[in-house]
Amino acid sequence: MAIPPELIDEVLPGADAAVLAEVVKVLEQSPQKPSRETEASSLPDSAARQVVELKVKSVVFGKVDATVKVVKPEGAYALREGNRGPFVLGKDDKGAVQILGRYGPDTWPEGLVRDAAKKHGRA
Amino acid sequence: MPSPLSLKDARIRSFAQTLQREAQPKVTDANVVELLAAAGDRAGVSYDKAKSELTRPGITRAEQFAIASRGLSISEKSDLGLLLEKSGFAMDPGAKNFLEALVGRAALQETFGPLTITGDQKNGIAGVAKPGETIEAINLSTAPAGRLHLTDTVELGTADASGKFLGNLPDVREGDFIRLRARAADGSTSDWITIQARGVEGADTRNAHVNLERMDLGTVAGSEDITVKHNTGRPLTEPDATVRFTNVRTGEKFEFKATENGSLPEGFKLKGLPGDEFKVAVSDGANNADFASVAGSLKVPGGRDLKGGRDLPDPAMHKDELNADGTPKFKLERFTGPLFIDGPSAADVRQGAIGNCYFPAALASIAAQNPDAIKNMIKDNGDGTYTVTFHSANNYSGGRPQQVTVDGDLYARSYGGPIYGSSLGGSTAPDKMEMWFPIVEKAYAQWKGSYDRIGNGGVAGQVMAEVLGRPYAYENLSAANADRMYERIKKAAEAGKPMAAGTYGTDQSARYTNTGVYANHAYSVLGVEEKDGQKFVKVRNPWGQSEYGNDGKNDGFFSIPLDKFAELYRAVHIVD
Repeated sequence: MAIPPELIDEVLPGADAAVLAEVVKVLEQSPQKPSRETEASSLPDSAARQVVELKVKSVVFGKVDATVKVVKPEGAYALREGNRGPFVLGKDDKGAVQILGRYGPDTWPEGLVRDAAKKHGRA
Repeated sequence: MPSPLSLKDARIRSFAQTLQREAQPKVTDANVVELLAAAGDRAGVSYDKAKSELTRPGITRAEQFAIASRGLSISEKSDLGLLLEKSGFAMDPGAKNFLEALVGRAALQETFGPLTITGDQKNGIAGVAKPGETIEAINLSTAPAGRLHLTDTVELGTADASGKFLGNLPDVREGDFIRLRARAADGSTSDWITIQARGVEGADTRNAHVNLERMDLGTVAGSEDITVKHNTGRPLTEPDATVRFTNVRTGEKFEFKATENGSLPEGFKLKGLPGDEFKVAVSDGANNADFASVAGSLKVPGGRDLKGGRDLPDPAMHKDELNADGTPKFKLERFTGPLFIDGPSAADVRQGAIGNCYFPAALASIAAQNPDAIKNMIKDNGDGTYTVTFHSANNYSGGRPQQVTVDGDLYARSYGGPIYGSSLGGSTAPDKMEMWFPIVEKAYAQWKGSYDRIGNGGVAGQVMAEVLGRPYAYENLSAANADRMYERIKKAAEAGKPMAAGTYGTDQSARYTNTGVYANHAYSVLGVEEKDGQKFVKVRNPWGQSEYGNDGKNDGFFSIPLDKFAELYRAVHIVD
């Protein structure tokens, strides 16, 4: 069921910032539905919404504080303290900062994010 | 109103008085029989008997004239003369000629009937009609090529006092269909008659013409019916001509025989698809009987300019790629690249933007372990289509396989490349991309019903079974059985048995973040290896990227320590 990551060129134009960061705290965790026990190799389900605090190590582009509270939308991955990597950030439909990319920090390697930022004139 | 006549014969007088009471008194070809009967009665032959004889079926005008003449008295002759001179009655030419012949003023004209063509057309078109009638004609064989309606006639000539006429139409050839009618002085016209010209030339060498601009092809939603509309009042072709349509894509032929008005029969339909081209040929029966000479072609609206041959129905997109009205968000593009470049391999397979990881994981594994199975399951039909063979679950023991034929149309991104499965390691240009994996995936979607039906998760083992026609085994993984599973994978790989593994569901996705392995995902299992005394399982991500660890390639192939494999993967599927 896992779908390949989006092309970064499709996502970056809607991003406000990209940072290298680490999850320091899971602030909110929505209820998670259990996956079915099945023979299937993959199933149509998703990981629940979370709100986490990121500690920013470096900024690729955009204006971001040293720590930032972000929404991890319901989707194909979940975060826990200690997860790290490149986070591309945008806004959700309520104006909250949210993590973009289907797999959060595992969506694109850092080099790809930096190259794309340059290509799109964001860095 | 005519003045009273001094008619001596009671029957004739009664006839005249009755007629005078009518608004438009007229002696017609029908009621003149009463005057003939009045004239024909005599000693031993009553009026009724004379009338009965006069109306005998099949009686000719000459015989009617003879009956009337035999009983005609001087006074009756005088009365008929008065009717001719003084009554003021309108008279049909035939009726008038009877009266004139009886009183000796004219010879009897034996033909005053409907328009009739006599003889052949070697010296023109000859025939008889009512005297004074104008003969109008149109050549139905040449009309389809011109801007003529069926009523756009020319005057052939006028019937003389004896009813005879002779005229010429331009450009009449042997076998042409000529339609004629007679027009009376009051503007009324006879029924049409149609003749086929004979005696003009030694042989009929001019084929019928079919006017393609006068036909429109149309599609019928939800079917492969193609309608044919005659879009004008002008004729399509000549009567009785046979028009043949040949679908260039399928070779299927459809024919209709033209109606008497040179049109097509109601309900005539073709079979085809939007964009199909139909070659159109016509034969009048004598010429182009094998339809070898083609008049031209008509195209069904819609479709695309197919560079690669036949166009077949395509499976619908996944629901995430459909607009609210059900139309796809992406357009189809015809891909014509080679089916295989250096044979099938796992590295060729790339999952598209659809939740069917189980499918590319299974196909990559088969390509790795048994590439001949991939080669054998696809047949290139040479016309832009491919027939792919699958096996349903109930025929693993030799039942009838499922064959699915699809074309090279793939849903494509606006900036290039297929949206769903594609090939890695080379170009994704429509004329260059290696086709085997996207074609097998398309055929699978077609078989199952749509890309949506295959794009919401599934069972890799089942796909491997459906490709190979052999059942599969399924076993959950745990730390406890990791070593046994290692041996099982090793033996299966040595035996060329395809394998796949699935990770845990998204409810456990937090354990996967930052590992390079993804939750709720299927992977190809390609074998095992031992390095420095540590056991590894060789795995491939069907994305063709994103791996456990960092081997510097990021091509989707990676080796994962056995204990990590047992921790992150939930189950392994192995084909028997």
